[in-house]
Amino acid sequence: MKKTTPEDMLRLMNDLGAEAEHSDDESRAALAEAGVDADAFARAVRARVQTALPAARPRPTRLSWEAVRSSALMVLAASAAAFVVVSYINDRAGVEIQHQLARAQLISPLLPALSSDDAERRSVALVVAEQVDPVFAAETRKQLAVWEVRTQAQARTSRNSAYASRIIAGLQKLELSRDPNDRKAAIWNDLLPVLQEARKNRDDFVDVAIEYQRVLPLLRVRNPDVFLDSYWGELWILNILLESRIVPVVEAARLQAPEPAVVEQIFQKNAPGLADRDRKAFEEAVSAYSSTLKGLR
Amino acid sequence: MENRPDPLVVARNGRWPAIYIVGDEEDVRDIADRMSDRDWHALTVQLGRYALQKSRRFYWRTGNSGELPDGERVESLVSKAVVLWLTGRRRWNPSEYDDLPRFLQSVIDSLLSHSANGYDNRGTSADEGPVLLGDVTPEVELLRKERALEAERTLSEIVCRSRQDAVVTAIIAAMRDGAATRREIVQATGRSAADIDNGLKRLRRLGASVAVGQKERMS
Repeated sequence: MKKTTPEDMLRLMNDLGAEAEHSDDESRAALAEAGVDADAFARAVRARVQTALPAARPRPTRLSWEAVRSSALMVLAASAAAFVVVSYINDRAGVEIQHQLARAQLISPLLPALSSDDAERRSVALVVAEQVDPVFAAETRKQLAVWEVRTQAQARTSRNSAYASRIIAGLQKLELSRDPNDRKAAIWNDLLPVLQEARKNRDDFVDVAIEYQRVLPLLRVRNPDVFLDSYWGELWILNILLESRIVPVVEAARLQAPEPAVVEQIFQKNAPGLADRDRKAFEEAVSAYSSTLKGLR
Repeated sequence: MENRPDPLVVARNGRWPAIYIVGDEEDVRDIADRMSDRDWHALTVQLGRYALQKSRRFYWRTGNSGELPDGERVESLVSKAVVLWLTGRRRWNPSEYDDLPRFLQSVIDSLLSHSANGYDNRGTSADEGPVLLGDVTPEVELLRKERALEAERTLSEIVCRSRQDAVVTAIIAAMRDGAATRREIVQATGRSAADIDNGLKRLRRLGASVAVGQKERMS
C-alpha cells in the first residue's frame, strides 16, 4: 500500500465516513444538521421521481410510492415488449417494410390490450403503440385517460364503504324501481346526503362526483313525468355537480341541465300544492340552481 | 437469476437480449413490490444523507453542499439515482453491490462525479477546447500549493484533536499507510467493522468541524 497525501487523507475521511453504516436516526440527524427536514426531503424526492417517470397512467391526487412503482414497472415492461417486437421484425425485412409491417402487425394485436380491463396491460400497449403510430396513440391516450380517471374514481369510491354502499343502493332504486317512494328514498336518504358529506373532503368529493356521472342520466329535472317531492333534491344534486369545478362532471351535468325558466315553470306549477316548509326548500333550490347556471355562463 | 446468460454471449445474438431485459425487469419488479412506503422513506433519507456528505468533498462553486452545479440539489440527485434504477437505465448487479442502498450510492457517486467535472463546476466552457493537463499556469500552481497547505493544516488539527480516541487514531494511521477502504482499515487495525464504522463517523464529524472552524477563522 502506498503512502497517501493529506488531500487524499481528507477525501478518504469524508468518503469513508459517508459510506459507513448509518442508522435511520443518524441519517435524519445528519440531514437536520444541514438544515434539511428528512420528511420534507423524502416527499420532495418521491414527487421528483414520479414526475421524472413517463406518465404511463394518470397521476392520482395524492402521490404515493405505489404510483411510482406502477409507473416504473410499466416503463420497464414496455421497453422490454418493444424490444422483443423490434428484434423479431429486424430479422425479416428492410426499413420501409419494417414500418409497414410494424403498423399492421403491431397495432392489431394491441387492440385487445388497449381495451382491456387491466390498466397495466392497457398502459403498456399504449406505450408500444406510441412507437408505431403516435397519432393513433395520442388520441387513444386521451380517451383512455378520461375513462381511467372515471374507473379509478369508482375504485376509490368503492373502497370507501360508507359512500359506496349508499351510492349503489341509490342507483339501484333509481334504475330498477318504479315505486315513487323508492325514488324519494334514493334521493333524500342515499344520493344527496352522500354528495353533501363528501363535500367536506375535496379528494372524496372528486371521486364521488366523478362516480355521480352515472346518476346524472337518471335525474328527472328537465321533464318529470310525475312531480314528486324528491324533485328539488334532484335539483340540488344537479346543482352541486354543476358547481363541482371538475371538468368532465360539469360538462356531463350541463347536458342534463334545463334552462332556469323550465325549472321556474315546474316550481310555479307544483309549489302551491306543497306545505310551507317544502315550498321554501323548493324555492331555495330553484334560486341556487339559477344562480349556478348564471355563474357558469 | 442463476440461469441468466453471459451478457457478452447474448450481445452477439439477436434474440437473447430481449430475454435478458425481461429478466432485469422482473428483478426490479420483485424488489419494488417488496418495498413498503416505510422502506422507500428510509432508503431516501439514507441516500439523502449520503449525497449530502459525499458532495462536501468537492469544490462546488455554489459553496453549499445542498446545492450542486447545474442547478442540481441533493433531492434531484437522489431522485435521479432512483429513476435510473427503476427505469432499468442503471442495473444493479448484486455480485458487485451487496444491497440496493450500496448500489444506489454508487449511482450517486457517478452522478456527483459527473457534476463535479462538468462545465458549471469547473467554470470552463466546452468551446474553450480541451483542458490540457500539461498546460499549468503559475496561478493554477499557486492555487494547488495553497490547497495542499490548507489540507496539511486541517489534517494536523484533526490528528491533534483525536489523540484521545484510540479507534480514530488507528484509522488515521491505517490511512497513512495506504488503507483506502473500510475493509482494508478493518484488516489493518484488527478492529471490528462496527468499531471502524463508528470511528469513521466520528472522524468525519471532526473533519467537518475543523474545516468549518478554519473557514471561519479565514473570513
